[in-house]
Amino acid sequence: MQFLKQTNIDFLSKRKIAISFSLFLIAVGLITLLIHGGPDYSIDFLGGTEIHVHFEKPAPIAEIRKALGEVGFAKAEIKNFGSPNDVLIRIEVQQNNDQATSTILNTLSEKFADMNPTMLSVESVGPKIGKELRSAAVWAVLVSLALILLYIWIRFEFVFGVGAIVALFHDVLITLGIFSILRMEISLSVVAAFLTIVGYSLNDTIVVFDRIRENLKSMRRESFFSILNMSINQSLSRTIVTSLTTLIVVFVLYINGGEVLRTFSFALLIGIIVGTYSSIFIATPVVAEWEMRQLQKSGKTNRRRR
Amino acid sequence: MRRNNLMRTIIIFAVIIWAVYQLYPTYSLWQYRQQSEKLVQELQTFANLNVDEIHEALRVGLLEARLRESIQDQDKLNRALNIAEKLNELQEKIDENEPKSIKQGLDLLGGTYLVYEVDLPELLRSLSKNPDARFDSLMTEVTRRSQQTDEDFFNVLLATFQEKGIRLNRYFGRRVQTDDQIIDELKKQAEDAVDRTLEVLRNRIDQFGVSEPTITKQGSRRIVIELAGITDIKRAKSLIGKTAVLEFKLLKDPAVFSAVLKQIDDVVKKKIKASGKAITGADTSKAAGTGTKEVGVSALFGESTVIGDSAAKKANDTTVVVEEELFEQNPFFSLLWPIGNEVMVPAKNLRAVQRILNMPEVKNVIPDDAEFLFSSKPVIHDGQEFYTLFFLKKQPEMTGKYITEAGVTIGSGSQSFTQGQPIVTLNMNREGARIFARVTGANVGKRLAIVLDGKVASAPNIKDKIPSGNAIIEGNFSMEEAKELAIVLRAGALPAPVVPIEERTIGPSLGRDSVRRGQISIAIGIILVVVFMMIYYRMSGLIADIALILNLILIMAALAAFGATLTLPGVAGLILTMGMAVDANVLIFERIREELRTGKTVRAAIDAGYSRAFWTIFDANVTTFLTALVLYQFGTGPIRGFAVTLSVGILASMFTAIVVTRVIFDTITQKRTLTKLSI
Repeated sequence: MQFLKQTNIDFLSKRKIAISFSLFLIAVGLITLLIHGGPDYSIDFLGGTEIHVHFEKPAPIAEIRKALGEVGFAKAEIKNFGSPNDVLIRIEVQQNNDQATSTILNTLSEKFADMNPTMLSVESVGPKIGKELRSAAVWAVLVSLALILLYIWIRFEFVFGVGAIVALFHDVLITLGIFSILRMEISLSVVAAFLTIVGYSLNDTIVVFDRIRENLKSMRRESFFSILNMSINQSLSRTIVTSLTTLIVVFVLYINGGEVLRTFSFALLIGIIVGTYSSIFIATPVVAEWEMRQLQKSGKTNRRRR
Repeated sequence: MRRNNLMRTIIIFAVIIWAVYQLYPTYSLWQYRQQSEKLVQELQTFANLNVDEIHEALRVGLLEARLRESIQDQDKLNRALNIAEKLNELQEKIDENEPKSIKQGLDLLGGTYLVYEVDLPELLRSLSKNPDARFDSLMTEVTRRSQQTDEDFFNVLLATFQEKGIRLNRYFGRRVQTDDQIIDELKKQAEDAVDRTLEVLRNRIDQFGVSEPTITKQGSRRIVIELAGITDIKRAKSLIGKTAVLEFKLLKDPAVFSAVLKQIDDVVKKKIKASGKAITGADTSKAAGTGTKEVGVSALFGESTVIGDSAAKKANDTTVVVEEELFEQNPFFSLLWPIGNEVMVPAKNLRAVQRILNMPEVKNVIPDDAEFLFSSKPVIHDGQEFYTLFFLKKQPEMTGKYITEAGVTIGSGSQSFTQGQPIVTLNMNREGARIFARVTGANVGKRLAIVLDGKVASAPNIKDKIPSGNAIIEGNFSMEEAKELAIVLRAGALPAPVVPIEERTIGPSLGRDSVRRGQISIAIGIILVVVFMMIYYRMSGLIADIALILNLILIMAALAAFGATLTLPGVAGLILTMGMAVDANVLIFERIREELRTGKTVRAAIDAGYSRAFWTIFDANVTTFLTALVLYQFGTGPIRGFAVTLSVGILASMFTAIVVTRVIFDTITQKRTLTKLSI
């Protein structure tokens, strides 16, 4: 079986459209980010306490809110989590987190004894830790980008490194934008997903670059442009098959992995789609664009060889 | 050009055998755990003990004793003891398999992850000489400011004091000291508070009732505690927050010690006889040459419900180390090893000895004013771990609250045998000095044990009356041991204020739910990918599928071999790897298809496909590997688990997708010359 017979699509000539489309997506994401005043961070980065409680019947949110208001948590954020029987209660950083948690849990089990509420998880993060984690996350993303640039620079040429990094920023920014549009929270596991997206998207990009490198050596008569095009076409079938198998498993995880992994697998899902797109429509076109500018600067007209 | 396929086949089979060998303990552990869990649940329904308490008692060998304390009804008690016996046997097996198995993270097992930090304002308040109203308002200011900035607490402290024109020596240290000197000293105090807490918690490590509590220092002012499998978080936290108790207790006379041991031995012997079960069931001939043999624990207690042959068979599973000849005559002595002047217990026998010491018949022969305690840390002797058994007066001579300072120095030249050796110094306040003078004066020649939370840290000899309140403890300490002892001595004196700053607790039901979902996701994911590959690449796809399944087995085996922890994100990483692992084969297959299109023979196309795709696969995997490494550095617990499975998955897939599939292809094409390849 084969999805694609030998294709010969001129991807590069459509680069202006692709780049504009991506810039548009990124812009929309950034604008919503600005409107929302930055990403919605989870308590991992903000500090606070989050309690996940399961009820045996659909949870009466309004009554829970009232009951918690009576014991001094009027400001608590209460919402369903995954199913109508599950509730997530979030409170701000407290003087004594332990006490706050047990007050809430005790109140729930007293007032709603007939629904047998059980604590599924409690997470509290101090405000200082949140700040530290935020800077650690930023560092992690930057360091991995730097390492990748370095590796590609060594194995390929600098210009390929630029192409790969642009594609990676593109993937992360678009995923971030989608998170912002949907008002989904950035937690530690979402950052982990971002890093995975970086790794995955790169995987795709490198396969294309590798083909370009090989073709540059063997097809000396072709123009740089058509070599790039040909390389994308030659690896297209593989790109689609691998993305498909990966999407299949991530989709299974998204559907079946439970609430804890929901945002994580959602980020992966978006990232894989965007990453596949960017390895075809962004990474290589950026290489082409960069090379062209270089050529124009150095005054040569047609093509350049390694 | 054909490379040595036989060699490769052998390597592949060796790897498979290795993987099965690595995974077997994990498999058995699951079985034993399930059985054990069922019994614990059953026990919990009528035994007035919660799950954690049962686990804890089980781990330290006190289950029977606790049950006797908590159950009044005789019928119930008998039933409980019966279950306890089975649990003890299972626990032995679990202990044996646990270190060799894949560990489950606390998000799968349920459990809690806690980060504690020194409560610096509180520490400073307790260290200050004269905390007046102005000091309090200054400290409030410092606390408020430090919460707003990323600046180090001590820098904020210094800045705040300097702004107000107050020198630190007004409240801390000595008059002659400069601000910088005082800050240095306070920083040291903060770190010492962490070290003391760490030492106290490690001393309590077995009381948490979980298999592998990890207690580690993070930076200089934080402690990270991970308790996987715990269900009663409140109990764990109160255990962490409990003030340490340091006591000085006199050792009983060695003659009394051996007399009591003898009596206990008689009791145990009588009990075995009474139960009518001879130890002859155990195979004594087997280890005759070595002088030691392994005996089923149940034989020692004469309580076992197992009779005859099966007892002999069981002997190999749950064993203790005993001296063979001694065993028949002195069943209890045989568990103990005299080394030097001490009575030692091999780590493996520890639980059995605990159980014997807590049998009601044995308790009767122990004098009321005395107790047995173990050393807190094992000593290594001939490559084996031993705990020292002490017999002490129950009533402490003195508590740790009189200690003002404890430290380590190097022995001076005045006494030749301590020259150059680390010695521990100990200073007491005036009242402490008075008590210590009386105790040491009256007991010269006896040994005084330093007991932290019921465990003996050290038991030095009293050489002379010490009237000054300044004592030294000599011994064959290494520098490390001396430091630890000094920390123990300080721990009882100065409670270290620590506060939790991060807590992540996963309830057991959520953990179970995650495990179930993980298993289903892996199963569905694999089936879908396998079917897809078979449809898309036909026979070649099937070969890739074999590699994929092998890949999964290899990853699990590697996790078991490295003692890595499987977390929920780790499971996600595993699933993701399943999707990405076929990538290498997709690359190769697409390449082979291309080569076939150019008209190459099947064999040539396969050769070209593999060699051309190799570097692509390599480059693509290295970069993913790099991000996984960064992820490992950046993340805590669960996320690290993700990074680990991802990177192990990459390595394993390189092997299975390139080497294993190649051998299969080669074997197929070798037999006959194919003109068409199913791809």
